[in-house]
Amino acid sequence: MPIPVYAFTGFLDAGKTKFIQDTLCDTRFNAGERSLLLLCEEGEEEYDLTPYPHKNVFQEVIDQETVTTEQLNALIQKHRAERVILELNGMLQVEGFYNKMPQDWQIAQEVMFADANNILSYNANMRSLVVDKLLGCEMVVFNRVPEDMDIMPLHKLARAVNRRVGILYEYQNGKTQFDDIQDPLPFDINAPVIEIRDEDYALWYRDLNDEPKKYKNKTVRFKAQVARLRKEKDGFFAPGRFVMTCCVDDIEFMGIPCKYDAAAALKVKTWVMVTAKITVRFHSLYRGIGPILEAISVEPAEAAEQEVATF
Amino acid sequence: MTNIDIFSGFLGAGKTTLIKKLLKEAYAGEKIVLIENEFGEIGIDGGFMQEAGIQVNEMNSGCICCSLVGDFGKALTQVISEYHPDRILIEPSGVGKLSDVIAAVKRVATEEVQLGAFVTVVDANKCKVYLKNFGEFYTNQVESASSIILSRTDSISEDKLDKAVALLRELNQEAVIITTPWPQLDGKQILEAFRKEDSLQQDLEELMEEAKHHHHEGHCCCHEHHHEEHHHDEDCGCHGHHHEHEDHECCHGHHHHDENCTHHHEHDHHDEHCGCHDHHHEHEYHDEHCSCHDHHHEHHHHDADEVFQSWGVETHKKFSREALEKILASLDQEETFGIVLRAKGIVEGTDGSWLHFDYVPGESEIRTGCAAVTGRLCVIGSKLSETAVASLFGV
Repeated sequence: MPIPVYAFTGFLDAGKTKFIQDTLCDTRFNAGERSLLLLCEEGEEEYDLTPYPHKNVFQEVIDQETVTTEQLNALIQKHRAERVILELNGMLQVEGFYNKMPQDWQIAQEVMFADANNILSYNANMRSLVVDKLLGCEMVVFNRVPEDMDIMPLHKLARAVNRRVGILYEYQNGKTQFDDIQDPLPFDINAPVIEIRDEDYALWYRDLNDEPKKYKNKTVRFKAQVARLRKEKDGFFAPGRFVMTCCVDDIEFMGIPCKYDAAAALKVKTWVMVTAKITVRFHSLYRGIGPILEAISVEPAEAAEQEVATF
Repeated sequence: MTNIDIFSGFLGAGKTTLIKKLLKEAYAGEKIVLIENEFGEIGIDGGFMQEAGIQVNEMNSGCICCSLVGDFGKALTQVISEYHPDRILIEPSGVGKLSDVIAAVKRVATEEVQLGAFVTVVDANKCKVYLKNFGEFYTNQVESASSIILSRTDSISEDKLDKAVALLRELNQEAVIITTPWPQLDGKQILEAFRKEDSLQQDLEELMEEAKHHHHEGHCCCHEHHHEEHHHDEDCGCHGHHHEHEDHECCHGHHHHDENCTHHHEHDHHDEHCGCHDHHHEHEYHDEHCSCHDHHHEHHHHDADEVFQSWGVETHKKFSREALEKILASLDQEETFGIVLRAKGIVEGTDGSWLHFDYVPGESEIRTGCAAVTGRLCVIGSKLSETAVASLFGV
C-alpha cells in the first residue's frame, strides 16, 4: 500500500503549523487515519493534540538534512502510520528530502505557505529556495496580506515559476481570496504561425512541455541555437536556448527534438530561425510522449540580444 | 587608510536600519563606500546617500547558490583603488556565513586596509527559532561576530530577552552584546561599543585602580603627598582640555539636547572617567622624587593582586530606583557579601530612564543619565562572595 504524503513547505513563521493544526482539527481531513506528523522545523507555534477529533496523530521531530530512508521507514512502522503529514524546513531544498523518501511514499499534495510581508525580499535574496518550493507545489498560500497591498507582485512571483499553481491570499482582516487573475500568453497560439519573441522562449518552452497537446499540428517560428541529440543524429537536431531559472548556477540548455533532413550540415551552437510544425509523439528524450518539431525552414540568424533566456 | 566594517544578519534583522543610523549619527564626515550584497526591504535612500557623499555599490548576487567570494574580492579591490574611502561598510547577504565574508576581506586586506567591526544584527524576537532551524550559516553569523546587536528588544519580554542573550553568549563568549533599544542610543555610542572603546573590562580595571588608591590612601605613609598631587591635578589646566575631549567621546549627540546627560557627563568626568585621571596615575607612579612612593607602589600592587577582587556583569535587567537604593544600602553587609569597597554601574530603569549609580562604603548615589548599550554592574572588594552579590542584583 502506498503511503500518501501531505507536504507543507515554506519559510519559518509562514503559517505552516497553524494550517496543519487547523486541518487536523477538521473531521474531513482527520477521520481517524493513523497519521505520522513529521516535523523538520520547530517554530513559534506548537501542535496541540487536544482539539483533534481523532487522536491517531503521532508527532516526530527529525533533522531534514541527516535523516535516512531507514529511519523514515522505522518511524512508519513504529506508529503503524497510514499516511504522513510533513512540515519541511524552509531553508533547505525540498528535493533533498524527497530523494530520501521510502519507495512507497507518494506525494499526495504539496502546499507552500508564504508570508506576504517578507516573501518578496526572500525571493530577491534567496531565489533558489523560493523557486524550489514554488516549482513543486499545487497551491501557494500567501498569508498576512495587508488589505492595501498590491497582490500583483505576489501573483507574478508564483506564476512566473509555476503556471498551474493555485494561489490563495489570506488577508490580515481574515478575508481569503482565490487568485483568478488570467495570464494571457504573450503570443497568439491561434495565429497561422505562432511567433515566439526572443524574450518569451523560456515561457513558451515550459508551456509547450506542460501542455503539448494544445500545440498539436500548429506552426511555430522561434530563434534558437543548434544542438545535437545523442541518439537519432541523422535527420534530427535540437534547436533550443540556454535558460536560467534562478541564477547562473542553474543555467541549462532547453531544446526540442526537430526533424530536419539537412540537420547534419548545421553547426552546433550557431543561431538559427526555425519555422516548424509541432507534433506530439513518443521520443526517447521524453521517455514517453512529448513535442517533436518537423522543420519547414531553418535559416541562419543573428544571436538573441540576451543570449541566456529567462522566465 | 581604509577601515572596513561588516554588518551581517538574517533578512529583516534590521541591518539597513542600523547602517542608516550609524551613517547619520556616527560616520558623519568620513568618506564612505557602502557595498551591498543584499536586496534590502527598505532600500537605502539614494538622495540621502548622495547628500551625505556616500557611494553605494550594489553587488547583484544576492542568491546563496552563487559563490560570493570571487566577485566580492574583485569588487572590494576596485572600490579601494577607485574611491580611496576612509571606510567601507559591507552588508553581505543575510543567508551567507560571516566567516566567509571576513576571510574574503582578509584576502584583499593590504597595508592600506584595516579590519574594523564584524557586527551581526540579531532579531531578539526570532533569535531562538532561527538558531534552532537555520543551521550552520546562522550559527556562523553569531559565532564569528565581534559585536552582536539585538534589534526589537523593546517588543519582547525580559524573560525572552534573557534567553536570547544566553543563547548568543553560549555561542560567542567574546562579543559585545548590545541589548538596549536603538532609539535610546546614539550612533556614536554603538560604534564605541563595536570598537570596544567602552567595555565592562575597562570599567572594572579603572575601578580597580581607583579602589587600590583608596586603599593605599588609607594606609600609606605618602598619603599626604599623594593627596596633594591629586588635588593639584584636579585643578590643573588639563581639565579644560579634557572637557573638549569629553564632548567628543562620551554620549555624543545627546548632550546637545539633554541637559541631564551633559551634566552627568561632566560630573562623571570629574569623578573618574577622564584621561586626566590616568595621567595622574602615571605621574604619580613615575614620580622619582618620592622614594617612599616607589616602595609603596610595589607593595601596593602586591597587596592588591592578592586582596582585591572585581566582579562585573552586563545585564539588560531593569531596576526601579527604589530597588536599586535598597540594593546599594545592603552592600555594607560584610558577612553576606564580603568587603565591598566600590560599586558602580548603569542600568535601565523600570520607567525607561537610565540609572547611573556609585557606591563607596557609607555613601551611595543614584542619578539618571544617558542610556548605555547594555546595562553594566561593577563591584570591587575583598573576600567578595560573587554569588551573593549576583543574587543581590538578581543577575
